[in-house]
Amino acid sequence: MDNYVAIVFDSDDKAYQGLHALWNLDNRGDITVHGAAVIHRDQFGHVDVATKDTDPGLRTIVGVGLGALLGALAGPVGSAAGIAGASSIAAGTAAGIGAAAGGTVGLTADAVKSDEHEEAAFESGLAMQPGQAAVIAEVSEDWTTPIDTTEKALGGTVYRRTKGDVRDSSFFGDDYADYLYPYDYEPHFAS
Amino acid sequence: MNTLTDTIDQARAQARDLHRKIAAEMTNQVVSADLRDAATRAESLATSLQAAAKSQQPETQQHLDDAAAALKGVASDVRSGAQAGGAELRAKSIAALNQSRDALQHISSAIAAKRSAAAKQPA
Repeated sequence: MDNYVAIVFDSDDKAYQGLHALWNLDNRGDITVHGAAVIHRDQFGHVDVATKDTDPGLRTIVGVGLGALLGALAGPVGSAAGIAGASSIAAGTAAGIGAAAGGTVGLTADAVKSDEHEEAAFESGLAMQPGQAAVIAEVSEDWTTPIDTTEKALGGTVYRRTKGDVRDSSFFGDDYADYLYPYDYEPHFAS
Repeated sequence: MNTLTDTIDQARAQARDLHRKIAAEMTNQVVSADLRDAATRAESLATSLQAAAKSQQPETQQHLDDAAAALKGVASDVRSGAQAGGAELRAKSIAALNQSRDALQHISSAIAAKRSAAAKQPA
């Protein structure tokens, strides 16, 4: 099955380990990773993408694609926020993209906490607290055990949605998958 | 190990190298020998994938054919960008980078299809 996964960790370093562990599962043939990236939510709620330090020209467009994907991973509430953020992302600066993406995840997390019924409805939706980092990836997996077992051992919480569900709920078409790195890399956050 | 899987795995590694090279070259304003070489490498890889695709299941074959088409696009973009230079070079380099990413997506999809089929075979 083709899925998008978000694996949330309490620190950047743990997320880096989670990224490498994911690619190791691919190398062993347990799963197939089509692309992955590491993101971080800062204390103000902004979300940054860890890129390779060799491609600064790609940093802006990475934010655009992942903003849509994060909204889709967060579920219906997050998707609504992602739509609202999309217009500002399209015309915004790099800082604006960070704020919009942060708003997407933040709104979802706040909505989940605001009402017990909503919490039950969206308990499987991605939620990131300030200071947390996450691995976002597109994978093919015949069973969920390899990722779940490996990433939980590193302290990660795994969220998962099928590729079909994400496509149905996204207003960005298929292109957001292109913003995930198609191989393992050493993540780097712009200072 | 399956020979086709070896071929696809090798193609994936080569396509990754190609993507890394184009991404690195995008920061340069001049056409390096490495970038010119990328066009030749992309075409060679496309030919290899087309040959590997011929005897495959339709799903895998389609992924490999799509990857080959994307790699031919990489070669075309790199060559035309190198001839034009300047802003056109940058635009073509971005296009080539995106096409190499598409190729990698199709190759990894072919690998996933093969792995899934192998996992379903009785021991």
